[in-house]
Amino acid sequence: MGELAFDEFYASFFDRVARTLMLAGADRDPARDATQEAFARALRQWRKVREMDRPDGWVYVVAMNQLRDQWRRSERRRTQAPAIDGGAVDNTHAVATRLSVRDAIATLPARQRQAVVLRYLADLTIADVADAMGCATGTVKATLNHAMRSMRVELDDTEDDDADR
Amino acid sequence: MQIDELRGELTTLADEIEPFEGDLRSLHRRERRRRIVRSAFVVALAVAAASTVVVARHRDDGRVRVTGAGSKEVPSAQITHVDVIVVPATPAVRDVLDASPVVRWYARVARSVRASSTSLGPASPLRAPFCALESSDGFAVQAMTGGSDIQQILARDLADRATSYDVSDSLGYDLRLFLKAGASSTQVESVRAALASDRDISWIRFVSQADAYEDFKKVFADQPALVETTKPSDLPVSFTIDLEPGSSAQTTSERYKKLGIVDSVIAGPSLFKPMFLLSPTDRTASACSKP
Repeated sequence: MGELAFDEFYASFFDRVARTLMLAGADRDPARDATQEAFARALRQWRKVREMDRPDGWVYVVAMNQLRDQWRRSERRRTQAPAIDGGAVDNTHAVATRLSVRDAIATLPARQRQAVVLRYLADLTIADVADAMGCATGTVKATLNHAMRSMRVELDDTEDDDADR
Repeated sequence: MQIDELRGELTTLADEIEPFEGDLRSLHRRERRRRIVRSAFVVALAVAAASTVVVARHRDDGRVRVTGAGSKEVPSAQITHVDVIVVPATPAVRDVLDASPVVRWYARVARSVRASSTSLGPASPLRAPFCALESSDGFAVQAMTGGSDIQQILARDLADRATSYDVSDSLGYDLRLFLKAGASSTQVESVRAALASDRDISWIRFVSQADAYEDFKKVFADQPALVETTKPSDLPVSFTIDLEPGSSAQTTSERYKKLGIVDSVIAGPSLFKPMFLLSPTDRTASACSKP
């Protein structure tokens, strides 16, 4: 596997990663730039990245880190989730009953949406989601739990135990 | 709602986003360019290290002062690293250096140094001290400990009696060890730990990509377009290393080259220091010509 394999990898995943970043809350241009930068790094380290179980998982994590750096630099607060307390959750539950799944996703606080998108669209492990979001695995689990409750999604029993999946 | 429904809905939402066109060609172009820049940078640093021989040749005329008790003035051959150059060399300056706790040793550097125009670019940190040495004698000073802020301390203590120039990054290390692109923080730390526990090594300094970029800007100051289009992330992280007296630079270098994550090891300028202090007067044209 050399350059050709990387080219195939890029062709298969560039669009998918960029779209996922947009769903996670990025604007279009930053999503494209962060994805391109992540693939540039993958190319630089291709011998290492191609040996991974999920090279695309690595790209998702790097791209999200790029985005977070960008957000930090521009002091945009979109990654700041509001404090999660009982009242907020109750309120979101009430809203969720009236909204479609799609609206429920859209109304999630930023960090909850990021966690949901990375976990259930990009299919990252809890550990990778934690790397991508710059937090602990426990925080990811808690964030996902709140999001699932808000959207009234039934949790799989295995969810809590798959951090190493 | 079941998780599968959620996955399905997320996939639908993603599919509704306008497709992204990648730009694979620019990615390969950028990577090729990055490799060239990286190699050029390492080569430039190696050449710069070696060229200090050319930069600062002068005659050590044996005018080592007969020093009294408590003086830290030594023959130039005894200096193993030059951290600061102080100009001019006067009795008052000597008193300050003797009294300073941050000074280990110092040696007189006689004027008649010639700063070669081929080696000293306008942004070279060596340009100012060597140009000053063209008109006055000075002192080459070795710090008591590596990595100290000796230049700032001396500048304060010397006040207007002399000017001190920090040359520790340019003249002060023995080896520079570059890591491969994409070295993880864990790998960096493992190399740092290996270096820190190495008996042949007395001092290490980590040079981040941001620090490397500052070096890069100086090295390629005459090529603004190159500086403009190069990002810190294009450059390698490295460690600058001081060896313990008597340790072999070659043996140490070969040992670390065997580590998978080490890309290259180059000799630092201080290895050329004895030549710098002892070699005969350079006859090349000066880079310090007055406008």
